[in-house]
Amino acid sequence: MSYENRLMQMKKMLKKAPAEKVKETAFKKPPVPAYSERWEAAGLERIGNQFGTVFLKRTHYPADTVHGGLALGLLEEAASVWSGSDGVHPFSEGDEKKLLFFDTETTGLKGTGSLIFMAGLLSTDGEDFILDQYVLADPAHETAFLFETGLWKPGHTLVTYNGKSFDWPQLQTRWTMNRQHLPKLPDPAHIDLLQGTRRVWKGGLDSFSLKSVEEEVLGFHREDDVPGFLAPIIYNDAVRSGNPDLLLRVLRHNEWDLLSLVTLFTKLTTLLMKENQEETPLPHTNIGKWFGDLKAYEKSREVLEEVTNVFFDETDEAYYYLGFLLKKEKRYEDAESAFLQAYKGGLDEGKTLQALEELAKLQEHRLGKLSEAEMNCLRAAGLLKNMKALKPVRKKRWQERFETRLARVRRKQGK
Amino acid sequence: MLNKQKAISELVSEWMSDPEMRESIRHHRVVEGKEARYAPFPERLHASIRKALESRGISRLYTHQREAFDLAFSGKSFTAVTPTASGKSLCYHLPVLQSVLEDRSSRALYLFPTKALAQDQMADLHRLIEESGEEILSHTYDGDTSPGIRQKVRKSGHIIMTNPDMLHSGILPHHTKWVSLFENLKYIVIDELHTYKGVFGSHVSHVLRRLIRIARYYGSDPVVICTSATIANPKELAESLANRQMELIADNGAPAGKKHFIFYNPPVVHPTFGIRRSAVLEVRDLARRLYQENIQTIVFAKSRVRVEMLVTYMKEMTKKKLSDTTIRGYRGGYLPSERREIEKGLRNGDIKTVVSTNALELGVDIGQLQACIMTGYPGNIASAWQQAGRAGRRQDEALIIYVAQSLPLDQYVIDHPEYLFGQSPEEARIHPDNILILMDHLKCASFELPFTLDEQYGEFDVQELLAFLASEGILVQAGDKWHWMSERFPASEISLRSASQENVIIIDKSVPRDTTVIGEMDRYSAMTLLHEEAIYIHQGTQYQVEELDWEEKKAYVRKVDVDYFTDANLAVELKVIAEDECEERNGHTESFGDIAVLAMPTIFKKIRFDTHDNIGSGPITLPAEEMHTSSAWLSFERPADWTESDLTDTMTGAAYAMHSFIPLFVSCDRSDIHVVPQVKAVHTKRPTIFVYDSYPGGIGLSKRIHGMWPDLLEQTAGHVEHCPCESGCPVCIGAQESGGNIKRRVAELLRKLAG
Repeated sequence: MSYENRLMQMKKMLKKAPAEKVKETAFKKPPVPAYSERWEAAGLERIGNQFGTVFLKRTHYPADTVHGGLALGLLEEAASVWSGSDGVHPFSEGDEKKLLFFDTETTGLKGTGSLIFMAGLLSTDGEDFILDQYVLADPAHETAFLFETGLWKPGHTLVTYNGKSFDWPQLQTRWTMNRQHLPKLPDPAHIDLLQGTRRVWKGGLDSFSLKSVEEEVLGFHREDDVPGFLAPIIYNDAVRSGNPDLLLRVLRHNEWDLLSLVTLFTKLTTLLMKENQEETPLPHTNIGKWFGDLKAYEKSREVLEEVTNVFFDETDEAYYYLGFLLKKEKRYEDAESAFLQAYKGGLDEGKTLQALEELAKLQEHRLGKLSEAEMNCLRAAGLLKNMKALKPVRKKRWQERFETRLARVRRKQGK
Repeated sequence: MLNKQKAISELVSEWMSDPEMRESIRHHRVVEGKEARYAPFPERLHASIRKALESRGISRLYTHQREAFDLAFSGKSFTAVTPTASGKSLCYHLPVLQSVLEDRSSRALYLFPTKALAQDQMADLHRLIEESGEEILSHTYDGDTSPGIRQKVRKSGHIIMTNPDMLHSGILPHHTKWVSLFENLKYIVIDELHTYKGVFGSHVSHVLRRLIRIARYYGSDPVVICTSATIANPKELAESLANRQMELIADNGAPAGKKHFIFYNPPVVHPTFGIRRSAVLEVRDLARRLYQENIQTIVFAKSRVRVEMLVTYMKEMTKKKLSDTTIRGYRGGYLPSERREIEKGLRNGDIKTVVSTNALELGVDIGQLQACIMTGYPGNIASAWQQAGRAGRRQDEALIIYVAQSLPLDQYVIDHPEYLFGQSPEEARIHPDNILILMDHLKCASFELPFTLDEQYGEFDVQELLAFLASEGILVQAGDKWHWMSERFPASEISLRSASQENVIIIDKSVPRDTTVIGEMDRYSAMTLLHEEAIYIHQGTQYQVEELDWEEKKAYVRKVDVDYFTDANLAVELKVIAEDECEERNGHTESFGDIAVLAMPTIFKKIRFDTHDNIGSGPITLPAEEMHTSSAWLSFERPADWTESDLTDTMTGAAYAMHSFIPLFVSCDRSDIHVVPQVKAVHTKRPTIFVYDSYPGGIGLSKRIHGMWPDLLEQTAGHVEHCPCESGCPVCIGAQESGGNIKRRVAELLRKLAG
């Protein structure tokens, strides 16, 4: 019988009740789940607190543990770089003693009906690394679970992957649902590595899922991993059946996520703060642009100039961004030659046009090279005709801009 | 202005004495105006609000506005019946603003049936707040709200203006982001109450039950304020929608000018088939006359296509002027900036004629025009009055012209003006008890907040239903609550406007690079009219269906020119599942209960025009559609001297005529209900006419029919008898192939059953 048919049968069961009175909800400690012993037997520790039950798996890693290509212990040095920095960069919250790597597994993607059923917290005591994975005993024990994570205690900096859009708002939602019993949730400093990864490898990676980043950047390959989308089904099943076998594989998935967060943090920091070491100019160019966007112009110029010094190919974008920095410093001739270099390379259509416009602007307004400005307008008009990737609206706008400029430049020359 | 403007009454008497016009004008009625009735500002009214009102030249309130304020401040929920342009928004703005000014933490939620309407009202409210000089944050919250300000609106918006769909899937399932709204929710305002009927209204009634449940969880108990156009049962509808007691403000203090109503029937051009001249062309001519008399006019047309047609026709008049903007169209699909511009042009008089779909029926502020023309009956009395209400400036006289189309309802109304002017506009009904709708929202409510083991939902005792959801693996009982235990997000799987979403979209791909949507059709009709190879006629153009994508609900058609049409057979099986009620009356039986409808198209025939020769046929391969719904049925003995074939034809004609009339009685669309005649029904073993709801689970329509058979049958009989055609036409019992006495028999049967 279909779902609808069964519902039609139930129509007779539909009863109406008199208006309801509003009830006060006093906290009642929920009973320990019946399957607790089986979960304990599987290696989870059962913790009881004033709100109920929560399960914990605690794992220690010595500092020389290697995950992918990097040892966990390299974090210390990486993080110490930031404590001496000027605080402009979003990673400058770093102080390895306070870093709390944080990742959750949830029963759904959004809304008040999706629960966090696992919270992994990884930190270091200066020597070892300690991973605490808290598991929700069942939905009735949510207060106990949230309280036990200790996330209400102040003084740490969270490090996550996509945590600003996902994990932290989810935690806030769960906290609000239990707020009458829990201490207030603070708003800690938070470094979201997804944002940094996107900036540094923009144009270089097809996907920014943590799994792709592990494979492409960190040299870590998962074997027998549970795909993330199965996690909710596995948890629901573990609660209904009491059997935690598959749940343990979700714990391992979460463990890998957290270990990768540590090495990714290290990797990003070294790239950001140290000399060129990648084989391609792309991440460095992206980093230079990033510093520029953060208004750390000097640092930005340093990084971009380094790219143009070290690499021979694919330096067009570095010259392009450098052009803007030099223009800002009123070094117009240097800016002109940077944009010339940029334009010669293989920039995309939009940037090519932008570079030509910058050249024409400099030449018209700053350098008095009207005939060269005219040339660049004509060059742009010629290129525009064959451009395929640009949207028609934008194409039209560019055409108009160059036509206007061309007319003016010609007028100035008395043509 | 070049020509001096004639007074409306002068114009009307001129028309009445023009013999050609006189022929088509079936009735002329005058509704007298009324004086305004005022009440002083309430004493507690905040000085800033007073200031804002006074800056608009308002120094006192209409009586209904004052009554609204007083009820709100005595903590009572209420419904105010307010026609267009009677200052209805002050009925809720005043108490809401007052409560914010008395306590800055107060919050209010405004609900409008559409996003566009909320955005219109925001502009109006912002003006009022600005005039008050106070800092009150009001904002729309919908799909168009920019992410940058969402958080600010959620945390500190005093007045949130949204629509039921957004509330359903964008606010309630994320209530933890709205703590300050729900903790301090003083008022829920439901504007345009009358639009919440049928399936949509039933869904919204549950969205409100969920809203109130969440508000209570956060400790607030909001007052509900509704405003409605004139319907028969505003109080009942509001009470059923919001599940609470309501006071009614029915007595409106706003003034009204004298209104002339003209009922205009286009002349008959084909007497045998009862075909009249196209209403659209008549409307064009009437609108031209008004334009030439310099009378600001709004023309209502039923579809977007008609709007564009009429605008094109009208603009021929002004095509010699450069960039003339005195004639404009207005419909959904225009950009907001364009709509603002038109609204402004109407208010300041730059636009003289606007042609609109029912988009302008609702409370968009365009000021008041002098004349209104309705192209066809808008489908229900409430809409007709809303449209008519667009004409009539305070002291001036107004002209309302109703132009009938060649449709049963249109023709009925033109012959029975008392139907419009009578005291009983139709009722707007919702059916929160529909088990399928209820379960949809019970899931959403469980997702939002776990139910406790002794909690009820709205007026329903739902513990058994929750246990059922647990057995389905959607909930799990842990501790003393039913917890949501699924990775799904139920609100996104449930659409409040699902009935219309099920429609099949008709796409013209005659020009491969320029495919256009030319219409839509309900799923049920699509089985027989849009199957592959069907000839589909749209606006007089023939199209052939090339592909029917049943999964995606899309029919691809291409223009053709052929000399045949297609006719498909639909095998409909009705099975009575439960007969809940059964009464004998005058030898026939009236029953009500649940039925299963199994519909399957079988074959189609190609039939040549004129000769009606069958020139080919083909199979239709579509899955059978099964639906469980509620039904009212009427069974009777076959009249002794009738052959089975007589009976078949007569019942078919009777069903056709009844189907056209049911919307008049129960305020629904034609497609909301089906009428199926069976010469020998399996369940009753007798001739039986089934009337059933088109929506799974039923929405209470056939339940209403069950109680009004005699009325329905009698009215239908009267209409059939009255129809001027010879032996049946599309206006009464449907076109008949040959002459004969079917029409007489239909009337006879209907009379007999009416008792």
